[in-house]
Amino acid sequence: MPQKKKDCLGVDKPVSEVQADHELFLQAFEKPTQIYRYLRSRNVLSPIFLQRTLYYMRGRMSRSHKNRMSFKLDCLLDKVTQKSERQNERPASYLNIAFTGFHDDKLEGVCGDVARVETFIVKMCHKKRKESSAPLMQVSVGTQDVNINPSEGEGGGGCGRNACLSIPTHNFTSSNGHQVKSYVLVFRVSLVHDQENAGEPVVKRRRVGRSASQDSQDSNIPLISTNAINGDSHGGVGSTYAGELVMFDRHGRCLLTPGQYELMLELQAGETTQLCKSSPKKNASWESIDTLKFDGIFNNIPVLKFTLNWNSENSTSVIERPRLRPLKPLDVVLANSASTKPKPQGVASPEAPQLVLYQFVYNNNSRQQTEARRDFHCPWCSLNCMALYSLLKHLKLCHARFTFTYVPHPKGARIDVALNECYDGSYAGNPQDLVAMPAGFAFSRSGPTRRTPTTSVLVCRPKRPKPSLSEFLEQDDDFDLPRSYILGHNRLYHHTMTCLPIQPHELDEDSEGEHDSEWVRQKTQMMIDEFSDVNEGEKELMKMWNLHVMKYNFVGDSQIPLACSMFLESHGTELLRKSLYRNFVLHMVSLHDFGLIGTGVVYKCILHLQNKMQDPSVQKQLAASWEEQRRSSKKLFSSYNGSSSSFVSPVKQESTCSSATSNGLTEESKSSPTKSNVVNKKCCVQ
Amino acid sequence: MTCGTPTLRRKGRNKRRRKKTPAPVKMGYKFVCYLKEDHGQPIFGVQFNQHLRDGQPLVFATAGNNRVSVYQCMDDGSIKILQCYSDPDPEENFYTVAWSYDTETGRPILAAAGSRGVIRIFSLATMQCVKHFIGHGNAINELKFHPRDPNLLLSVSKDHALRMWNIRTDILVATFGGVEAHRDEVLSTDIDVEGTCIVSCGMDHSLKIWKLTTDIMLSTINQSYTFNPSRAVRPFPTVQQNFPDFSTRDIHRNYVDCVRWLGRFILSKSCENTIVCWKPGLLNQTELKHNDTNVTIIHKFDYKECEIWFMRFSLDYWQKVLAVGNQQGRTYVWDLDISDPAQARCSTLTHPKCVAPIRQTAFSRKGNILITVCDDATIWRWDRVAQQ
Repeated sequence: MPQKKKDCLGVDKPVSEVQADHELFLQAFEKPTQIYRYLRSRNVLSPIFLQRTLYYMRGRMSRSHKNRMSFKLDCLLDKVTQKSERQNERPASYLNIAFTGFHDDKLEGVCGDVARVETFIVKMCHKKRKESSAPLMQVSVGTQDVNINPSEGEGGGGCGRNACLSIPTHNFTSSNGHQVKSYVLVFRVSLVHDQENAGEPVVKRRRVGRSASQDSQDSNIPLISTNAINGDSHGGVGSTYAGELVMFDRHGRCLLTPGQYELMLELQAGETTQLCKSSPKKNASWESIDTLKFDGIFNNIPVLKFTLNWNSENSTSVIERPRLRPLKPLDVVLANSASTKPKPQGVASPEAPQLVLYQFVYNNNSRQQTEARRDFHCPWCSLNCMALYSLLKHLKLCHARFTFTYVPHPKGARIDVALNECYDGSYAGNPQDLVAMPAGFAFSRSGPTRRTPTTSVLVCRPKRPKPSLSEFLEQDDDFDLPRSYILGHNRLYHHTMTCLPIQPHELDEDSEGEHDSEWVRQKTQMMIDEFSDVNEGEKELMKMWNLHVMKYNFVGDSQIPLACSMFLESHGTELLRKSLYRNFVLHMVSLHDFGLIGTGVVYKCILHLQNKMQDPSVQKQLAASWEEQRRSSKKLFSSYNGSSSSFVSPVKQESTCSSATSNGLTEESKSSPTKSNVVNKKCCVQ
Repeated sequence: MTCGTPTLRRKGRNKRRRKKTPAPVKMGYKFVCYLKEDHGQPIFGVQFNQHLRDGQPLVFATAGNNRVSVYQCMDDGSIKILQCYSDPDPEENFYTVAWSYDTETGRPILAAAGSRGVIRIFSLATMQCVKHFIGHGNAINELKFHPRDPNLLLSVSKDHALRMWNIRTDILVATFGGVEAHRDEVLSTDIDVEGTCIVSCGMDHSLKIWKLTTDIMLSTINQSYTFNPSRAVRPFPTVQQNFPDFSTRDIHRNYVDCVRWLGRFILSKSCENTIVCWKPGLLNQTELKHNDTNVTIIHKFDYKECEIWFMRFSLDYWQKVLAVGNQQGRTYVWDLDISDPAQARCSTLTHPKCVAPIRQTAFSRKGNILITVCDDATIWRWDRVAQQ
């Protein structure tokens, strides 16, 4: 006892240490693990992608696209006709079933009796959307008498011949009316005693029941036998057993290969029991071979033995009893109401149970904890990755909060798990998804959504490196990682004026390069309007000229002649309408004064403008404004004598003002301007 | 000072209670209850849902920290929390909320925005943040819905600009900012009842009026309903309004942090202990002029101890009561239902525990409940005392 105490004390310290260690472990791994647990259940409930569609999860994909390789459009019709032919010539024209016997250990006493087997074909049709259950059609094809518990060596029960049933295959064609999913052969065995047996004393029959109940006590399936008793005692007619055999699987393949069958039957509660209550699929469950104890089961469960073959000729109703060959184990054993599923294709071949050791490294790589697993399930998602490569790839891509390093291990594989220090949780996907409306649309939980159309890879078939585990080994820095194959861009741009994200479809339109935005034009005009020392006509010309220069962005002296002619081209008529002829001439003169244009240009421009005056509507306008100005100037200068020339006369008032302007210009011309822009500015500053 | 004011207040109140006869009808608001939000951070915004009519529940929303909470004023005088939304970003600090409704379903919509500059739209019926708008370059100081069109949302931001959004079609209709617009943070805005004019104010001491009745604005608003972004090649032609229709810096000498239309007049406040009622131009002038330098001050509502900025006043739906809180936790209430503004009587609401600055006040539609929110995360409910 004291020693034990000491032992306890000795252990005590490590316990606290272990606890502290555990604390550290939790500290490092708890939070990301919780996050991944949450994500796991979310992905189970409403996945945003399917694992099996990932290329590295090919093991989980049950479909192979082998047919696609050889597919040709022209073959389509051939395929259909072939298929229908194949169905028409179902192995043969008749399905012959020769019943060899009904075996039930509990019916030992009634050896030699006859049981009645009624065979039905149940058509299971495709469920339509609105129907709650698949429609069933049941057809009885025949009733035979079968010996109960015939001895193997015996040449034949009563007559040495066996009851045989022939079903024409046209019953099974899948294209009559309703689209039929599959057919099920249903056998219903009723223990109806024939004439001779009917005369037997009741005691004997009772004995049967008793013996059954005795049997049930040492067997482990008491339920059935109790039922048997009940059925026996209540009805007194005889028990009914039923068994089903599915003919075609999902893909229309025939499951009933010729051979000898032992069909396990289940006791039915009464005659009224509906056959084939639900599709066999629903009750189907996978059972591993270890759990099935054949000996016990086949000893205790009633079995209907028969030979099945496809034949071109109708067999006579009674045939010779064939000699039994030793039954191959698990040749075709169909458990009651369980359909066989084809083995999923493409499943990675079950490798030898390998050990996957997870080594959790934490606390600055100073501590580690190891956990072993025997399968390739992801410890966070419990997703079965089927192969080590898939597992590693999955871990690396889906659990980025950790780093995983693969280390080969004699017993299998070791994976070093550490916290990813570089993980910042930032979104690495398409930023368009983040700004898409409504919020979080890309991650919407209500169903699939359209992908944002920015990065559209038309065709990209990069040569994928062969999947090899070496990419998960600890890597040197200069390791050549395969590049990601995102063509195009993965960036989000914003409009300069509104700061709104640029939608993908707006990308091609560069609308924001213009240098004379509306507000600059407006502001320029407003500023010119604020001048107090220039008259309205000059303001007008300044606005027109400045906006013109701004629009075309003339930058050099050499462009000024061009600017002048373009100005006249676009604004010439407007100029004349606003009676700005003289203002323009003055402007030309001052441009000449600053040495920006030669005399030739001045001459040409004025000629150009005068040509525009030939337009009758312009002339009318000019005359009107001349009249008006003459009247106003008469008021101002009563001594003034108007000249007869319509050109020279227009603006007396303006000419006085413009002389002031030219004074201003000459004053400033000392600071020799070189660029047209400067002149513009001067023009404004006036 | 602190002892002087209460006596004054008491005197005033007593006088009113005793006399009960003279012309100016007195406003009586009585403290009913208060509650405190657990984050302990200032609550900057409170708004009643004034779209709810008589007989419908009295619902208001608050904005503070990274939370937007929706409360109901119960008949028994208590406040019941209905919903609470928390921004995923703990750094977010909501400054303002605004109510609207879905024009199709009639369900309430709550907009909130704050320091991150993201406008969030909550659908209270589905309890979701159904939309968000990004685009503002900085914090958003106030949100306002257009009084006539519940889909038009006006936001004002620290980025010196105002934006008008169509929240139904997610389109930015217009920005009001630029060369002649605010030169500093825009702090507050209001749209007049008819939806014709926006007034905005900010840290540049200025108040600016923007017309919404210009052709370009009207056509763009219409276009914002019909524009199909998935079909169009070019982005929506957002109006870039650089030039206000009226601008003044003559009303206040400091940050202008709250402004409201009162008919054709404007109520605005700065941190100068006064709310100014004024109008642009001369008294008889009806048209706005761009270069107008005239303003007419109608009346000043003076109060005390409110020198810090970002303190908002509020009016009830019928614009008959005006309330503002000060930095000592006192609330000043004026009855505006009088013919002469000089007659407006002020009453002060105090509570010994209400000592933190009152950031904003909100009246229920009928004006019978006043909610004030404070810097210490408290929400105060004051009910109007039944008058004889």
